Amino acid sequence: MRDERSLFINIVALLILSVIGFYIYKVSMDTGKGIKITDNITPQMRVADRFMNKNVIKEESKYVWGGTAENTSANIVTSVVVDYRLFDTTLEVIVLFVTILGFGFVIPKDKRKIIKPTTILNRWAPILMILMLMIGGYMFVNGHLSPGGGFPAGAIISTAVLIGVLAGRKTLSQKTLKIIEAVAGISIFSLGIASFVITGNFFQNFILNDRIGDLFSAGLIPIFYGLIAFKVAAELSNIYFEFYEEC
Amino acid sequence: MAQLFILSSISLLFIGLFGVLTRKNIVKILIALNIMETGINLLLVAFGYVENGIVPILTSNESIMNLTKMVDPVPQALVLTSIVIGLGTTAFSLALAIRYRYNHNSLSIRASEEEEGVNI
Repeated sequence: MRDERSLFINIVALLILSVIGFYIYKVSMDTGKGIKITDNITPQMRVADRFMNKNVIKEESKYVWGGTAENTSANIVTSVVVDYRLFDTTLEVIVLFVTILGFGFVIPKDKRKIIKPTTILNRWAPILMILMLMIGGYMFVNGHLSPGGGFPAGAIISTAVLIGVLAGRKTLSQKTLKIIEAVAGISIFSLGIASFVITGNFFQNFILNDRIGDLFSAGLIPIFYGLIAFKVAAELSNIYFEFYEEC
Repeated sequence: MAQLFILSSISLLFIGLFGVLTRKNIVKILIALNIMETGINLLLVAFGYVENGIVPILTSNESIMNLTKMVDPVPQALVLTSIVIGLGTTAFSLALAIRYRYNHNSLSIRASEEEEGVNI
């Protein structure tokens, strides 16, 4: 790291990057013909407009409130993540699983020393853990009504586990985490197979006809989000256990 | 407003690129990569921005009239994906950095050359 603070290299890099950045900015703000990147005012330019008006196939079909168009969740982002693009989300969970697997293989398992926690952390950890678990549970239960959902809820729950690990309290064993992860992953795909048997399409929502905005609405979406939250929480907690494993 | 978003996201992107190009410490390079990722996420969300827009959540019967005022939900969903995958790759690369530290006893990306005494 000798030439890290070399003035010449830094100035050359700054000059080159500022020139490139200026031209990219100029291109992105260009007002020529064709599709403009920054034009969000005309609704036809937006990606989701065609989804919301359901005119992907036919140009003249329009959105009808309470009709067949949107009968899933009140939060449209959740509809996109867990209904329209559920394949994307499940594959994303698998990608996360594979990276955590590679992490476990790569990380060296020796020369680990563990710092003893202080009394303050040891006493306050259970209180903080209860609050964090409560907020995480609220987030994935309410994911189809308000901002939030499975991934942030999983991150919050795994942070609660992290506090337990830091405080030196025995909360969960790694075997329990692996069982939780496996059960959640298998349930997601068995629900997909069940919807294939019932409706004929993989991952199609088969619990319908409920009122938008209720807590128990949107059919399979809260179930999928809960399963995703547990899977993500188990995977992220695995990282902390790997970092803190005693050898 | 969209100009401001694009300007800030491009500047974040190039701050990260500057860090990747000039730093020699692996942890600093990973932090710079995360800054780049934040810039790209901000750019994606900015593409769905609408002037005086509202959140894409159906709260009442009247909110169906405001569909054209809502911000675009698709980039937000994509950014959710990108954040989670960024977390996974960051954890993996940090594990690789720990392995590198054990092998070379240094975090510099030129550790093997410095061991051999090559004058760079």
